[in-house]
Amino acid sequence: MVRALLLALGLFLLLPLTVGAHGADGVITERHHEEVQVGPYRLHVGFSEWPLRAERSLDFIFYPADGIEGKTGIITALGPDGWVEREPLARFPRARMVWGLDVRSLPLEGNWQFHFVIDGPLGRGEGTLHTIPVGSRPGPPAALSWLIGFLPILGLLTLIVMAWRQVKPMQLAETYHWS
Amino acid sequence: MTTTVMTDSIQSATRSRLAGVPFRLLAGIPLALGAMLSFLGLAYDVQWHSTVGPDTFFTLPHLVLYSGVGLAGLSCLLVVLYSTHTYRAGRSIFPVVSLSAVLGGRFWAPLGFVIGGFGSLSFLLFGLYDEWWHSIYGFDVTIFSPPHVGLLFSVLINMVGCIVVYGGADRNKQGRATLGAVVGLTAAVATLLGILTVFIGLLELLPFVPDPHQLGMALFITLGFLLVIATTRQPGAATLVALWFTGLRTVIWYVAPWATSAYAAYLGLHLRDYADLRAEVALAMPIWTIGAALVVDALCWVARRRDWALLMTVAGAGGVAALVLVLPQQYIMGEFAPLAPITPLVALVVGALMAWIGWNLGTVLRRIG
Repeated sequence: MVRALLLALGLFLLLPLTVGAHGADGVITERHHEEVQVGPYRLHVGFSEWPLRAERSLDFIFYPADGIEGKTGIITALGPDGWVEREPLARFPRARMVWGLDVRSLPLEGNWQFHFVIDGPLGRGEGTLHTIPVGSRPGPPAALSWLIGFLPILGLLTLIVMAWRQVKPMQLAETYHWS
Repeated sequence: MTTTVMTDSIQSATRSRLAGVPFRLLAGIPLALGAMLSFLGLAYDVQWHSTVGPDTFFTLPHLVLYSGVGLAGLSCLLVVLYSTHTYRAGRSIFPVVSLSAVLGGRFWAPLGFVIGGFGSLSFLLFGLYDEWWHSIYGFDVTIFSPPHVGLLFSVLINMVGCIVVYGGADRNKQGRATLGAVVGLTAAVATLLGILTVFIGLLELLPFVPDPHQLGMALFITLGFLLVIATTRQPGAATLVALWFTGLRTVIWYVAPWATSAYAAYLGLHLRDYADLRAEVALAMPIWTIGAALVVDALCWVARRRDWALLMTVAGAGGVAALVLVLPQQYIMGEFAPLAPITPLVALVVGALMAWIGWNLGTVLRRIG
């Protein structure tokens, strides 16, 4: 019995050294893609989920037809409410021959756009993917989800208030004396 | 439902037989270590996500985090069960005055272990909530999702349990905490302040709070300093909190980036392009805590010797400490970001108030612990 438990514990502790290795050669399942003309470059934009839903995370990959070698770029996400987020195009962690954004979500429902700037051997190019429709947020109402998340701190605050009211520290002499 | 029992019999007979060391101090050690480990695991996990990325449940940072919570939870469970057993057998391992009845008297244990145990239980439930969340929203985009907030607050409850364990433990004839209790309490408070740095950003949700991160940390650290001084009545207690806090910061600063790179290399993963290799959680932890703590300890020491008015001293020390803590945070995340002009004034005034609240909570802790 003890040996079985120790074996189970050992296997549990070793799991992180084995399971995580999947990440190294992980392949992105592309469910949808678009093509964007970015100056002289034809850019492939891939999505690991389609259709998109607000706040649901997915992977994005980007690569010009002749690869990312010798090129740099900047992506700017433009949200339906004027949201702007700009960052350099970085290699995708699990497929470093392409650029990508891993585990990202678009937080708002509506139409999003991706604007690209690419510098490379053929010069500088700019282009925009104008239509990225994002559907409504899945799951339960946000307020309910957050209320559940705040339950532990509400319980703790209740406990502190109860303890304070029971002890009434401001009415005790020891509160006003150094020893 | 938890009710504190205030019968004062048997107290002298229930000291531990472990060479005069109160059992409670020893039983609190795995709880404190678990709380500390869970904070370090969290800092490691934050670094992993920002520097490397790929996420499964079975990662080394998660193992450290969950081991910490598991250690804390199991130690609480064992203490509650053993305490109940000895209480029922009429030879309570803890002073009976310090026992609380749980679930209508089914269990009897010191309140701190009960709170700590509920923290771990809550963590387990929010872990399930998080798994369900992933099935709907995919893997984590942000640390501030509803289940994550629940998980973080659960770890916080774990640490509050540890604070209650040591806050009410062992005092000498002058009513001051013994060395063991001071060490345990200051470690627990420093760990709690450490984890606050991870989610103090929630204050940004409140309107009209200038520099929420910087001000929030300055105010809560000030509260922590005065709480430990009030609870222990020992000189140097605030400085010991700051030393623990700085120690944790130093460990995270050096170990988190190294452990992240080493684990990624082992798995054959690459660091992100443009990754900031500096320890993210350590950067968010204020660096000048020792200076502020020395000011508070020195003021309280002089005030005690000269019998200055306590309320004014505590409030003054708190205001100054909050100011000393908030000003250097203009260099947050290693970059200069000037504070709003009103922030130092708010730190001074609200710091005084937080100090007084911390002092009163210290009295509460002495009574309920």
